[in-house]
Amino acid sequence: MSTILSNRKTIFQLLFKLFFIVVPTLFISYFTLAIFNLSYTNLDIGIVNQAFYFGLGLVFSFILYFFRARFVFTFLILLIVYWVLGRILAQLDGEIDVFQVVVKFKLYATLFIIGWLFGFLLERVKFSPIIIAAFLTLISIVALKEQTDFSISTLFFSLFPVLAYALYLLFISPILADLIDLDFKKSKRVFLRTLVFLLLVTSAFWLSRLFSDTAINTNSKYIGEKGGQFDGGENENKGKEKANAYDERNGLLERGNKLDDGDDGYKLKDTMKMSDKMSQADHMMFCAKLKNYFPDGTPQPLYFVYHYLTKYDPIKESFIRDASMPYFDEFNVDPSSLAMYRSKLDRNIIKNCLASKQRKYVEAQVYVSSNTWKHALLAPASAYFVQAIPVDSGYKKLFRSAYRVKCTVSELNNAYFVYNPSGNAQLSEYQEQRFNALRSVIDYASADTAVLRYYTAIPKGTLYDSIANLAKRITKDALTPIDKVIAIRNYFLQTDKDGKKIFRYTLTPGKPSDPNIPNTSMLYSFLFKTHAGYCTYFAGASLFLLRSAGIPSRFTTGFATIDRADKNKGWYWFYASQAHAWTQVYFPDYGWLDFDMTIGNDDQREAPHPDGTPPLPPQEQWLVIDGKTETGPDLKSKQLEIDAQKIIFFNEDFQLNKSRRFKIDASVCRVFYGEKDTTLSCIKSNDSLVLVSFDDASKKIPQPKTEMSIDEQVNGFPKPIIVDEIHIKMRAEDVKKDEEKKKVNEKSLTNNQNWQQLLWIGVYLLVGILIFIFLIPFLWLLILWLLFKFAKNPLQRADRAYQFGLYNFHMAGVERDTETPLSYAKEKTDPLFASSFANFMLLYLRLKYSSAQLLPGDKELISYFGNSVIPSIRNKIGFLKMCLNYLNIFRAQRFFRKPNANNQNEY
Amino acid sequence: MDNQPLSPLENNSTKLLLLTSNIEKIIRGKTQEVKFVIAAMLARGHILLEDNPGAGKTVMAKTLAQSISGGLTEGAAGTVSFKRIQFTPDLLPMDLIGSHIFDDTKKEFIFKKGPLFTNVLLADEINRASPKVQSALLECMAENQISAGDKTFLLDKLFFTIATQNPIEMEGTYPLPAAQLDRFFMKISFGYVSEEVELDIYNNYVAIGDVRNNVSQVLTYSDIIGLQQEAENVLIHPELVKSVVNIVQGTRKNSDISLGCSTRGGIIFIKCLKAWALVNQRNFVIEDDIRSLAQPVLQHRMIFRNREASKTSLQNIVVSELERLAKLGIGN
Repeated sequence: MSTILSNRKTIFQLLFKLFFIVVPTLFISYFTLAIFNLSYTNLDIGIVNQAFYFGLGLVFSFILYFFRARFVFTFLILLIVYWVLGRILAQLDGEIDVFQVVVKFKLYATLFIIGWLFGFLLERVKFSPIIIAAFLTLISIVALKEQTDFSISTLFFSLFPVLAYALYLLFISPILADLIDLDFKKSKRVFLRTLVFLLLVTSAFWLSRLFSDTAINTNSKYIGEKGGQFDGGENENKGKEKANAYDERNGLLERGNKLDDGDDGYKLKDTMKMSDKMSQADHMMFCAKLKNYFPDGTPQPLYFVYHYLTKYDPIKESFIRDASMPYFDEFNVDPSSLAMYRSKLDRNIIKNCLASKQRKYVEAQVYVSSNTWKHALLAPASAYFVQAIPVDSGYKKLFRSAYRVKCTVSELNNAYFVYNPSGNAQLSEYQEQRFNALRSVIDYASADTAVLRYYTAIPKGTLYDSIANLAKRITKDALTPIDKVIAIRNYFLQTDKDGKKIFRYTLTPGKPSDPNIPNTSMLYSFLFKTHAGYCTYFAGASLFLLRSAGIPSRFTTGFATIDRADKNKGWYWFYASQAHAWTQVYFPDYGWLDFDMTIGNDDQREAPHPDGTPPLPPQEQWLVIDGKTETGPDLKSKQLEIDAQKIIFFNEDFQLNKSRRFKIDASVCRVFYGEKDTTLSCIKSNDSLVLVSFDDASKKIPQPKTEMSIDEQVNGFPKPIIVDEIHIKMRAEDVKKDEEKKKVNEKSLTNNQNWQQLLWIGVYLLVGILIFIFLIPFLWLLILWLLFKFAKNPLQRADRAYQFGLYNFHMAGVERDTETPLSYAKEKTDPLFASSFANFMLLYLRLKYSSAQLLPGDKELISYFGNSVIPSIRNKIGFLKMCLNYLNIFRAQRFFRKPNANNQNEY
Repeated sequence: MDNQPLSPLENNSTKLLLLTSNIEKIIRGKTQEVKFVIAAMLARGHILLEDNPGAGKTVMAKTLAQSISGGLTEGAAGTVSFKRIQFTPDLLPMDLIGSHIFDDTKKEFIFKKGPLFTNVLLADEINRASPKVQSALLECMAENQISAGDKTFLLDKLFFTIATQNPIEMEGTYPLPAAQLDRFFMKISFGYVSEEVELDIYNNYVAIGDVRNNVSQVLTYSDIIGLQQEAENVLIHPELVKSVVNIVQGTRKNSDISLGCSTRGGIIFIKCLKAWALVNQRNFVIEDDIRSLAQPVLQHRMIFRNREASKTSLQNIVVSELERLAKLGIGN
């Protein structure tokens, strides 16, 4: 019987320890793993999996060592098992999937062993909390070192939970040791208390949910801090330059509001207003590879267009989009809506460009940053083709999506109109060539009248009359449109007698303050008074000057392309501060050309933005097959057959006349299901597949022949076709599951924030438990007091007064130890607190051991004593100190503990 | 209060207060020990004082005897009879019990009663006598009668032995076996008095000496017999009896104690508890009594495995039992 009892006691102890020690450790390790994963994304395995293996090691070793297993022996066995498994895995030969299995195995093994060691430390080593906390702190610091944005608050947010954990363990372990020493007989009571405790914890959890709004705010801030260079921008540079904080109302950017997939980001505004100041954000928006070079290979940047704002509101002085503009040449496509490798083509744009001379086709790849609105198409002017392309997995954190665009571009167009060629002979020469070419356009007689009328319209008013006058004055010597353009540009660049520039670039033009001018206009103020403004001003003013001079032009928004370094040729990085507005000028036969009249900002040098590492460009694919496999793959030969009717052959979509069966060699390919990597064996029969084969020199690849029909060309395809990627389309049941998951996610939080919220709840829980533990003595006092107050009869009241008195005198700092209550009252409390405890005790003992008969006066004494306990203590040591005494939970737990008689040897 | 007859409890309390205060006039600063001695007497038991010479053992016994009048009066003062035997290695049982001597006139052997026929006996340095003598004494103490030859002589109703012994370590002693120690209700040690008390003793030496020579008789023989009767009627709560059982059983189960407490020890413990409650002016036993008496009543009945255990093990048992009692409420 006694062995059963002791066994049960042991299991009880184990459960206790698991709950109070192992679970918090698991939690905090999960948190550290999360920090670690932020910096070392190449682990590429779900954090939950990692935590699972770690937790497995932790719990297993904890239980093992709890039952007194020998450390050296067991650990040796573990190492040997892992070594043997590692050898077996090394024997396997195979492709990428085997390699991945080995990597995963190594990672999991390491995590398991660390968890194992943690379990051992927790169970056997006295100061394990300190060791573990130190280790986790070290790991966190090492991981945080990788973060570019390393601030004090990051440090605090990352290390606070670990420190709180260490504190918690140091605090809980003596209490726990004491709890576990209790007799088994009393375990029922302890069990009940644990239940109550759990209830309180649960209520604390729900309370913390009440504050979850604050928690999420903190979270997003936290993500922001962690995000580093791909930061949300909300709190960007707050510490460094307060003035530089981005104010959406005054900037060119705003948050996209298309929230259907749960993420938003910055985009350019759809209207542009001339306001008194402009705010600039500083984060990276996207990066692009533009395959546009001069004949000698020098990169030739092009502005990236977002929208043409062809409508003007003279009252608000803002530019608005107009869907009814003639020859609509804006490529209206949401690149994020395209499935992988799917493309969209709009040949109308090529037509609507109204250009025929000196055209070329330029290709660009755009990588959209994680905090940029992904629904906007950003491309050099007159994009007509867009195709979704994958982002290499190593860059998925930085870039949320990517697409390839093709544009029809005038050979005369580039971003070097404003840029000072600064002695670059080639650029000067290019500019001259360009101007000379455009001088062939003498007037707009040949132009479409609808275009002419639409793009030279000016509102009526004195302001616009004076602008017209100014335009006439500026362009009086110019004969051709291009000369007029140059004249207007030179007008913005002119200097006064002292050689000082008249126009100046500023982000804070200020409000026109001249009281003499009624109905003050920003445009007027810019052109005729202050001569200071930012891009919207220059673009707006030049637009009206050009139109006054009879030159069709339009207001364009997008991003200025800055060629910063020659490190990565053709790669351009676009930061939020590059959001820009400029004018496009129409030349018959040449189409729309970018002319940026904005002068450089002399006060502020270009911010030294780092030229990031360009994402690995995806390999060009020559063939994409969209079809169904009837039989599934043959795992031995790694081949499969697929029936398909739709193919993409060298970026062109084709629909075959009839379904064809292709033989596929899948021996070197990667397989994806949804977002996840899988293996070939996951392909089932009747799965819909998308197969991709890269344009690789080692393969025999048929070249597209325009003269042959696609069905004939397919006949020339190699057999089997070697594919590099297989994307399995979501099966119907998984789509359903996915939708359900989405629904659940909608209800709770987005995936991204889930673990962080969990973490914060955990931290709140820890803090809550700590506070609760500190409040236990107070609660106990309250309970005793209420019991005393609401006693049913004098005898019960005497009992409770006795408990109440003992507890209070104990908490006041006079501990009873092994003394009997009577001698305690006589010798310790009464001399110190002048209380009537001894008298009460005499009465109480009489009631207890003699006859439970109340004598006259007994009732009064009981009440008097119960009520006088606290006042007598307060009178002696003061109210504040008394309250502080009740915070001493170590003393409180001594009250419930069995006194240790060994301390007192003699009477 | 003067007019009303005293209640039995108050009456007894007064008597005991008189007795203790009377003795304390001479034995100073030893209230607890004086009370132990009185309690042992009221429990109809005997007490063993283990102490160094000169701690006041003899004076204690003598003063106690002198404070009570009546009984086997011998002295002119009319006090109960007090005899003192100095135990030496050559002492014979006959020296205690008495012997048959030939009466010339009656022509027969008559029994000449020895010093044991008394009310208060001081057996000084009991461990210096041979075991034969010791056992003779102890038998009398247990049976309250003496067998000599073919006759059995009953001792007086009030027969109270105060035995003293030198600490075992001293040379020339025959240590009392555990079985014999078990017959003493209590074994206490006076110990040295505190500094202030000692100073007080020296200052008032002459006065104390005077008092010693004419101790006033505060109680009568029948008072003591009455108090002994009263002590048996003292109330002991069932929970306290249970505690005594737990303690006695605890000593047997404890691994540090090779010989635990006997059942007789338990009975004696309860008797002592009752007497002790009476000495402390109560007619019911409380948990504090157990705490006060456990050591003097139980300690000498047990054999411990080592010195360390002898200091702590009994106390541990008692303390845990007292904690149990302290947690009980009224009516449990």
